[in-house]
Amino acid sequence: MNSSISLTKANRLFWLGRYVERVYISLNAVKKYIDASIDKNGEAYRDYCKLIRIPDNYLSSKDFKRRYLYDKTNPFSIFSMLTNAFDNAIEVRNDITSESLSYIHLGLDVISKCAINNAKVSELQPVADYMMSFWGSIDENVIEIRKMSILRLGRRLESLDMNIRLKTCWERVNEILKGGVLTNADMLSSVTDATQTERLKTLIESRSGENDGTGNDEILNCINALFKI
Amino acid sequence: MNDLLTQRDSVNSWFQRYGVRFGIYKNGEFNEQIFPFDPIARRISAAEWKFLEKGLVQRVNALNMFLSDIYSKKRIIKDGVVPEDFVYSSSGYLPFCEGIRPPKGIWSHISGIDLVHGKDDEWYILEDNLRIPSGASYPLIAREITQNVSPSTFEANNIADNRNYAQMLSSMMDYVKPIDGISVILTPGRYNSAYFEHSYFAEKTGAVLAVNADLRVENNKLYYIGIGNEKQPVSVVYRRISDEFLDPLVFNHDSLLGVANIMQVYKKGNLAIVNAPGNGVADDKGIYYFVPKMIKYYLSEEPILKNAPTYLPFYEEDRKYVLDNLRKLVIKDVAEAGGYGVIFCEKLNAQKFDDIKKLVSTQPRRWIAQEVVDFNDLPLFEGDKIVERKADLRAYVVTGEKTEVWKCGLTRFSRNPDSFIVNSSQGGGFKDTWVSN
Repeated sequence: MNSSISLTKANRLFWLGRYVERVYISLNAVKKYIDASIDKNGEAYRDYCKLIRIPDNYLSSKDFKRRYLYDKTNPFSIFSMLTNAFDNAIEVRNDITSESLSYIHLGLDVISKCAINNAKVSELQPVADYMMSFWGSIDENVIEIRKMSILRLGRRLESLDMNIRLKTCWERVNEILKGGVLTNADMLSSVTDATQTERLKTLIESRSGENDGTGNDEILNCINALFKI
Repeated sequence: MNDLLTQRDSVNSWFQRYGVRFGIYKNGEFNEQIFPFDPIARRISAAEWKFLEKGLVQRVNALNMFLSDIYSKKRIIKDGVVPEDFVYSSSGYLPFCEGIRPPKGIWSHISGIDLVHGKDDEWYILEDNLRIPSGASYPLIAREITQNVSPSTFEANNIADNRNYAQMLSSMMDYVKPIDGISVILTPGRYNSAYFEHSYFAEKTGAVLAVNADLRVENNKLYYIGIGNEKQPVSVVYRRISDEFLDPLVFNHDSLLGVANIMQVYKKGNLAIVNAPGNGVADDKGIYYFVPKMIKYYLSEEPILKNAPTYLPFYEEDRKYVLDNLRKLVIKDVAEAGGYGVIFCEKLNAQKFDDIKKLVSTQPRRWIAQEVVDFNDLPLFEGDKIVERKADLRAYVVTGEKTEVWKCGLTRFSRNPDSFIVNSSQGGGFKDTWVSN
């Protein structure tokens, strides 16, 4: 029997989707900037902080690599993102299955080991792989449509958010909007704000070409107000 | 079993992968730890199991009859078998439950009975757990993992499959349902020591895992509240929170874990609570002494399984014996659980010994005394060496349409060579329990 989804559970599923996607996109994005730091007097990480709008309180490129990747006490670190994903996942084990949860465990296991030696970012590739495996497992194991929609809405809104911050071209952003956000937001009318969805659609569809960052604040506000819990 | 023993690393990595943990509070901080698993299983022969099974069913049936009686006619008190002092002064006795008949008359749906196998080859019952016995999830997932890692071990040994436990729970919950509705597992949340088990059982039984904020009482019915204010009737709550926190309007008013008015729904007969509130009166360490008498009283049968030799300082004759022989006895505080409040008097210094002696004299109702049962050691791995340590067995008895014993159990062992305390909260580990077919 399909059961209702409580508000606490819906909230967990939504943020689980967001954090898993945030880990995946951040890991892929930061690699480029860590690599560029070699050629740019070690300062490229500053561009990254500015772009994704996190505080730039790192002392050096080395400090950035250590604290952005592995510092559990840094709320913006990859380690913290993954821990947040886990904190949400553990509370919905029975909804996502132990198998899906295991990929988050495996990711945490890898990052914990890498943190001990301050390993280079390439050694975190298995973490990104596990995040993808997590989604594969979710597709296989989560049967209830609404639970799946909440997870997917979280994932796609995060993808939209991160790609806008990273100034991805508008064509790609539009694809993300149409490829997951709108459909899932419509299916979840009781927990999404239809006005914000419509506004988001209008704001994104009216743009094309390069994303120079103009007006992005408004779009990001809209993304974060769309899910009502 | 050799194949399994050589694959210990693989088994442990699967435990890690599935997050098989238990929570523990140390210095006010919550930490989750892997529950140490030893792959050398405890083995119980088919004949021995048959004997245990019979004794456990007998014991749990008598305990259920005792609970029914205590909250209704109280025949056992009137007939002088159990002194009323032991009932009404028990912290587990709930006056609110007077006159309540739980759905299908079942009080203890899931009973965790702790036994030890003595060196004299006798099995002794150490404790009955009729409130929220935990731990069954560990041998359940251990079997899943070990069978996966080493199928040949299980092909070569004729071991009873234990993977029916979730089905036993589901069938029991379906049986006690008083109205149409869903079954929920009510958890206090992530920071409970047994949270792994709550979420794992929800996954395996198909029950909905809920926190109190997900539930609401309206018109003497309990509902699970979904997004968009959807209301789904709840007919069974497998609660994993203690009686005192269950309903802030009836018990502890400061409880932030319970559901307001849930006890009214229960009293009206619109809800089964698994296990029933009020069971604490029957698994009180003081009442334990009377269980063999209950078996004779309610079932007119001789107890099949023995209690550890126990004395109640409440009785003058026993008190005298206890005070005269205190050095060789183990003293247990009836209000404590989890291996706490257990004092081996043999090891006490003179000052502490005198303190305990004084306490037993002045507060006799607070203590029971037992002869130290020298129970068997079991082999286990310590690093690469095999050593022997004390181990007990928690057997799980499920009462629904009938009373059945799960063909497995949680074998807990001490990791300390000098200790008889096997509780996970005190550093113990666990083994699977193999029952031969």
